[in-house]
Amino acid sequence: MKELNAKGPDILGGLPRVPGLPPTAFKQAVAAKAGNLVDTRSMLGFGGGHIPGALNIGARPILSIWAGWLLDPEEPLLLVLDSDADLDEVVTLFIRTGYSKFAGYLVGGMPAWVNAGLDLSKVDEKTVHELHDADDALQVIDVRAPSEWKSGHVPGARHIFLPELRDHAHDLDRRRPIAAYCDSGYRASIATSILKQQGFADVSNVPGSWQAWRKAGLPIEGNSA
Amino acid sequence: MPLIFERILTEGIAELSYLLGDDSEGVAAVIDPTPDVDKYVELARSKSLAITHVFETHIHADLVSGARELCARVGSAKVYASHEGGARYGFDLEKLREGDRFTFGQTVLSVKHTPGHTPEHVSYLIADLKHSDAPWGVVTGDSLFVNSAGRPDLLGSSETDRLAEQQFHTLRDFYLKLPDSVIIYPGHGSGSPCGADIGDRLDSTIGYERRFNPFL
Repeated sequence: MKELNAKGPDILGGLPRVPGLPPTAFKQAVAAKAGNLVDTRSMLGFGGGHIPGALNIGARPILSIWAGWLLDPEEPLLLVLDSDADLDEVVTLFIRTGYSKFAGYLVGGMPAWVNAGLDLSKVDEKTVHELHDADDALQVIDVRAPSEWKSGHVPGARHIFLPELRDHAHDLDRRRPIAAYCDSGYRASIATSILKQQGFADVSNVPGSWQAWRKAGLPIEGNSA
Repeated sequence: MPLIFERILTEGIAELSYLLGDDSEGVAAVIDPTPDVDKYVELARSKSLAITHVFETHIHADLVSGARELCARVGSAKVYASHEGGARYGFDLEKLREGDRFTFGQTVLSVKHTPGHTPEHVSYLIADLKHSDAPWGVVTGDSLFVNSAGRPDLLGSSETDRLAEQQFHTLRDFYLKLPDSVIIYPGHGSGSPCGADIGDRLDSTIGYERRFNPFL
């Protein structure tokens, strides 16, 4: 982004235009790879049902940062919103870190998509108690920052910092189920969407994640420091 | 109260920009705007100010600069950015050098080259015109944060050693020599990737940071 700022970023003259695409047109745009598909709903909505192949980055202020880690600003975006009324707010979060190309947004959101009878993909959601009681076949990954991992983590978990997940996904066993956690589940939901994009079939998020794990008084590993 | 000094926090990127102006003269400067510039335009209008100057502390690596966007929107302002440290730009702007001074009513803004986070980085000392050599505040950009300092490693490993040395001189030879009472207005709050463990408060003083900031 330093090169962009030195060259002089394009003057937008207001928020960029984002064409509204009804479900069938949106589906065609996704199939034609008109842009990167980003679902900006919260983790529970995303887990319950999303368009196959979508990356989940929830529409919170930190979206600007995660877009910066995970998306190419040269490629347009196809957006799924919680509500059509959120469009300007979501676009504002994207332009802060250089995303000003949009191929469209899904008009009517996921309710319109399911009403049109189109495909859904899902991410299972596990409570911390289910995570604790899971058998050894489950691969648990912690996608938090290194400093968070060092302050304590779920026993037996493996640490893969979220921005490095795409490059380290081949280290994971595709035949076994995977559960991802972070501090709240926000970043873990991003992680589950990346793993689904890479063809992992059995992926789950842990809503509440580390905050819930600690509040439940479950055992902690690696916090001796 | 002619002086208007407002902080604008942009969450997520945890960026702090500032509007400094004088309502008796109706002029204002904005420092380090983000690209969603409506908030500055609305703030200036609510205070009956015309934005005439848009200052950058450095060439940002973590967000898109809103400086050109803001100038295009208001039509009354120019971009002012550092030409210290070999900085080159691909667009027209007003070049800043150490020691340049700008007056907004009763307040003086002075440019200080503070390399380390980036080679061209500048900070802005703020003083009352009556005591122009005794600043009461400093807009530090990404050179000094609350409880932290700007990372010198964001431009790649080939630059890191040189920038770390410059950052050391900026902190020791500039910030540590300011009086304890000077208020620090940094470019980022807690959560920004531009510094490690930035403190939760959005401003501080030289005296407090001298005691508790591990980088000073």
